Amino acid sequence: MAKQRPKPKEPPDVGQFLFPMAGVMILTLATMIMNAQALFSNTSIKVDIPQANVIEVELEQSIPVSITGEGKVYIQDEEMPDLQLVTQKIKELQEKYAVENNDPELKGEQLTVIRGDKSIEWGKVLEVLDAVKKGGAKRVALAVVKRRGRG
Amino acid sequence: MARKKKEFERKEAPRPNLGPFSDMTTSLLIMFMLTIPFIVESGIYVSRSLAAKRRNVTMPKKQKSDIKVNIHICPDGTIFLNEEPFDPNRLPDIIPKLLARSVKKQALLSADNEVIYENVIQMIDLLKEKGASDVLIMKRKRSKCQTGG
Repeated sequence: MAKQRPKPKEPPDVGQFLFPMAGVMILTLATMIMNAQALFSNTSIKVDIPQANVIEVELEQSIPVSITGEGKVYIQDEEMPDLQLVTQKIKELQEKYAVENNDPELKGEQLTVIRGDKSIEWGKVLEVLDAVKKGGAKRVALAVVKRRGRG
Repeated sequence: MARKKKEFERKEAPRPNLGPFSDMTTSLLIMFMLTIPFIVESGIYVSRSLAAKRRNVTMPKKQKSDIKVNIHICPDGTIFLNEEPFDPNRLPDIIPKLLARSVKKQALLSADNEVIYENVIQMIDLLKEKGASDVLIMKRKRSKCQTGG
């Protein structure tokens, strides 16, 4: 009985491992693109932010205060039915920031970003700005997105 | 029957062509990186003027005299520059000249409550673009628009 010659080993098929990896990569990337705004602004509240040419605030951990087109106010993702609650919440968050960094002098130094919808009235923004300032926030910025092209 | 099965087993599994996949991933990544500045929110720093913080305290005379740009926006689009009605189209030319005369290069901005937020942001943007170091937000008790505009 003639002995069969062993078959030469085929090189492993790399493609079969890479195929799911490429799929997962595309999915991850697509998810990142879709959630980029929420990832960078620390909130999932969607507002139509006005555009501007001048950008001053770099990416840093901030307290987002959102004002929607309907005039509802949110801090992070929590709705604030009353402006006094805004002051109280800002006070709490600023205190927490100082405690987390073990430096009482940092109280009020965490950046607070007011994310106002571009269609709201200026009076509403002023009210929220006053409430935020009453809460002890020393650094306040108005959220903008970079204007595409020259405006 | 058994032979047929063996033949079937011998057939190689189709190798997926990964070229288009990697192309797509790369182009998506590049697109994402390019659009990040337009997606990600940034901000413009603003300050509340001292007069607005405490009702009974007025702005120090020294600070007040250094402020050469004082803008008020009306709901109908009328602009008051240093208490006088001013053509909005001429603002980009005049603001740098006025700011050049100021030491701290601060600008004072107020607007009626009914003014659309986007218009105020555009004005803050213009002021910052033309060299204002700080925009002080002020609230007026009496609107200038009723008497002047």
